Formats: sequence, structure tokens, C-alpha cells
Amino acid sequence: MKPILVTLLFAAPLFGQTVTGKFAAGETYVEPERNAPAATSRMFVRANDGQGVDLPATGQGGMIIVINDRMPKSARLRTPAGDTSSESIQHFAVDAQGNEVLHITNTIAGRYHVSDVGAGASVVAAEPESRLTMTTTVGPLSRMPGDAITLHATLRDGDDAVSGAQVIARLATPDGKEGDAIALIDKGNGEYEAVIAELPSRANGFWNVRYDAGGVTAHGVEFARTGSNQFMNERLSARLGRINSRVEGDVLHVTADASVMEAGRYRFDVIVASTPDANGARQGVAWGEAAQTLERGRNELTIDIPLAGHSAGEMFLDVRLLNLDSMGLAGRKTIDIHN
Amino acid sequence: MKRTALALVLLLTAVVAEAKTGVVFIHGKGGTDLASSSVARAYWTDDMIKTTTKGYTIPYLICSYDGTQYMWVAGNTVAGQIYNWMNANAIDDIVIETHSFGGIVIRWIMSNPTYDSRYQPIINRIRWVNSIAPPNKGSEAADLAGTLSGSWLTGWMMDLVGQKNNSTTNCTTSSMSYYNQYYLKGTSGRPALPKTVYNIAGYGLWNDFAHSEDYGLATLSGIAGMPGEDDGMVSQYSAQAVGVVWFTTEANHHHNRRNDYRKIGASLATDF
Repeated sequence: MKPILVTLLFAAPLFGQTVTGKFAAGETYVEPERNAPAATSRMFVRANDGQGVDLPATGQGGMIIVINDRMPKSARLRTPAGDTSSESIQHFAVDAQGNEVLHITNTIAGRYHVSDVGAGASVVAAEPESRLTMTTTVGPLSRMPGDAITLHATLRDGDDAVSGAQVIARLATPDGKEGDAIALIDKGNGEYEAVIAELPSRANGFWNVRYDAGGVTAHGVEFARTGSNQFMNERLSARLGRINSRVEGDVLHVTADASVMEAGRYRFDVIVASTPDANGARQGVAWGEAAQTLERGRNELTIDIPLAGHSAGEMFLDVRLLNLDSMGLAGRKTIDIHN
Repeated sequence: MKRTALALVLLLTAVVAEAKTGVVFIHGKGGTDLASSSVARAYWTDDMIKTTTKGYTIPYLICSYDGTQYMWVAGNTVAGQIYNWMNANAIDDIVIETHSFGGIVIRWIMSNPTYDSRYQPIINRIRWVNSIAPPNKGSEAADLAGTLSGSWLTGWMMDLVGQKNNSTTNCTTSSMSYYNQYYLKGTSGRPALPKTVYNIAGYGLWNDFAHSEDYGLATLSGIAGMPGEDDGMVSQYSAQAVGVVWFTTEANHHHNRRNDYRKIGASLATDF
């Protein structure tokens, strides 16, 4: 009776495959970044609202303009000085259909204007040499159900913070459905932020965050910037529970409880690292991965990792459960162990 | 020099053990038509294939897969082709040549040997990988697909940026940061890959003024705001984030797979 009960409580993973390895001497272990990597933008996008498209230029170097219109050759560009035939505007063909890119060598600070473009046309403008930047991020990069999402943008004009700007963000689901505009709050010193407690849908996968900023610098120069980041909205497919470990000889045995909501293929990953040195860096020691099919309910995960001569003293374990049917992180825990 | 010495050692070992060497080409992302073998061959060009294989004297395989898919979907297709080819031809010493997203596809295979039963036998036979312009930390050009989502784009720009499909999503800097941390090996702070990757990063943009597409790449580089040097689609820092730097090339992202400007096919052929 007891063995049957144990079997029911801890269904044995099916079709397990394990690989292990060790870090080379001197190789460090690095914890996952919390946020999406920062993205810096010097470009912006504008759509034709029927009155043409205004392009605010900072006057800090050149501007590349791409007019995305079905009849791009009919478009006209007017400089802030009112000139429509300036010699500073160069045209470059980019394909055999005659589509062109416009390049202004040195802009005048002010509004350029694109007219005679069709409804729905979009204009992409970039100022590659400009000091006016918008740097954005979103976190957490791996968003577990229930986690709040923080949207963050930083506006700089060289070393100067740009305050008083309007920054909005739009979330788009993995299948591209765009949500309402979310206004980021000016936190001062050029930092803008919004925190979202709940996503508008549970759609799993990579969500896109598009940021649009507009305003005026401390020097009275109008600007616009557009950027984006993504984050992974994880599915609630399984949870990692209690983790145990012990060292026998040269082998580290790790076990973990997993509560599985969606049966399927998973991988139990364990990375072994040293305690942090004086600089906070951890040396990588060894790793192991066990791919297996897990049934719905409670499962016990196990893996044996050779320590390859590493002292079985204090160690750090980064334990993960990865979904292999629908890629994503099901759970992650870190523990310090003392043998 | 170290690479040449290692190649000589491996060559001698191969001769002693009568190993049969072959070369595999894995293309980058693109359209669904890249699942066609003729389109995949055109991607590389005959000149690149002929030069790398020393006039077709080295057995070779040009992988073809739907260029719109995630790395694990592409990885299974590629693994099936390599597995069948190496067994049918008794190839047991494989040099892999990848371009762009192809470098991520082979990293998926080498990082996840338990994902598919064909992966480990393939890994066992790989000598090393030469990876041309791989977006190992993602591509700011792929990020543009998200930034420009919802905007109507002309064909040339959409061709360069890529439709907002699975392979483009796979190549954003955010996605690659995520995958590097959980599913892929080889970046700093992660377990090492089982075989060495030699990377070749591009740093040129204006290669050939006769090709208007070079203006498109240069435009994309300026719009995407790629940090440091780049080849129009992939920044050098990203290409060099995995493996050993073999060399850099002035050929841009269009040309560095074609052997038609600052040719690198002859360098790839030194492996044989």
C-alpha cells in the first residue's frame, strides 16, 4: 500500500535524459538579468493624420527619412525655413522599384514637414548623430503570473536630463494586438516610469512594449523619439517546490518537488557556483540538465552532478524548471548550501 | 595560428582514423521559401559554396528550413537533414558554416542535446562551427520590427527588418537576452558550448555602390541605432558574444555570405 501511495504522490518522470558538465577554471557564473536589455533610440515614427507629417529635428547632425507610402515619389519635404528644394536633401534609391531614402546632412532645429503622402503612410526619421536619446527597458524580462511590470524610459540631451516630456507606452500581445496608451510618470532627472499590476490579457510569449516620447529640451528644441523592448509573459505550467541537496563523494545530488499543472516535456536544470568572492563574483563549478516528461500533479525531480574535484563546502545552486513544449521558464529558485 | 595548428592535428587524426570530412551550410532567417533547397542554395550563392568546398571536392550539405520559425523549429529541421546526410554518407567530421540566424539555430542544437535524439550524435561529429554575423545577443534591426509594429512599411524596409514573425521575435535583443539566460549556452556566465564556435563579424556598410540594397542596409543601421561597428543587421558586439573571434570582415550582411565582396570563402576553405 505504501509504495503505491508514494508512487501516486510522486509520479516518476518518464523518459529522463541527463547531461552534466563543468565550468572551466576561472569561468564565472552570472545570474539572469532581471530586466530586458536597455535599448537606446535616436529615431521616431509618425503616421500621416491627413495633414502631412511633422518631423521635429534637433539640429544635431543629419537626419535619415524613410517615407513608407505606396506612392513615395510624390511626397514633398519642406524644411523649417520653408524651402522644398534644398540642396542639403539627398535622395538615395534603395531598391529596383525606385523607393528612396532621404538624407539631410545637417538639420536645422525645427519642424520639417512631409506632405502629399497617402492616408496610412508612415514616416520613419532617425538622427544618428543626435545627443538626444531615449533609453528604455521593461522588467521583469521573465514575468511570472502575478508579477507587476515596470516600464521605464530615460531621456537625455547629452549629459542633461530632459524633464517635462510626454512619454507613452503601448503593450502588444505576442500575436500583435496593441493595447491602450499608458502614460509614464515623470519621476524627475529625465526618468519616466509606469507600473502595471495586471496585463490586459494572459497571452503567453513575448509581449512588445513600444515607447513614444515627445517634448522640448532645456534649450527649447522640440524632439520626438520611439523605441521598444520585449518581455516574456510566462505561462503557469508548473511550480518548483522544496529543494534538497547532499554531496556523496564527488557527486552532488539535487532533488526538487514540482507541482505540474500542464503535463508535458520539461527540463530540470541545476547550475552550481561558488560563494561570492570579495567583488561579489561567483565562480562557475558544474551544471546538469535532466529532460523528462512530467505528469500533471506532484513530481519529484532528481539530478546527480559530478563536482569534478570541487570542494564540497559552501556552494550556490541556481535551480530551474524549463518548459520544453511551450518554451518558457516554469520556475526558478536559488539556494546556498552548506556541507 | 592556434586554429591552424588545431586543424592540422585534427586533419592528421582524421587521416589516421580514416574520418570522412564534410561541410554543412546553415542559412539565416528570411521567408518561408527558404525551406526550398534551391532558395537556400541561392542564399549562399554557388561561388561561396564552390570556394568553401574547394571546387565541390568536400562533401557538403546546404540545409534549408522555413526562415520564419523559432530556433527550435528550425533546429529540428536542420538536425533531420544533417543526421540523414551524415549517416548516408558516413561523414564523421563536420565543419558547420552558418550565416546570421543560422548561428543561433546551431547554438540551439549544441545547447540542448536532450531536446531531440538526433542532436547528440550530430554534436559528436561536429569539429567546430564558423559563424558569420550571428546575432548572439540579438539584433537592434530585429528590435525595429517591434518599434515599427502597426506602421505600414514599404517592401524593401520590411524585407530588411523582417516581418514580425517568430524568427524575427527570436532575434530581438530582449528575446536573445532571455534565451541566452535559460536555453542557450556559450555567452559569458553560462555553461560552455560542447564544440568551439569561431565567429566572423562584419563591420562594413557601403560595400558596393552598384547595389542599391547597400543603401538600404546603411539606412537600417542608422535607424536602428546599432552600437559600435555593425554590418547593417548585426552589431559586432553581438556577433562576438559567443566563441572565439576568428576575424572580422568589411563585407556587410548581404555580402558576407556571398563571396562577392571582401571574399571570405577562401578563408572558410582553409579548414579542409
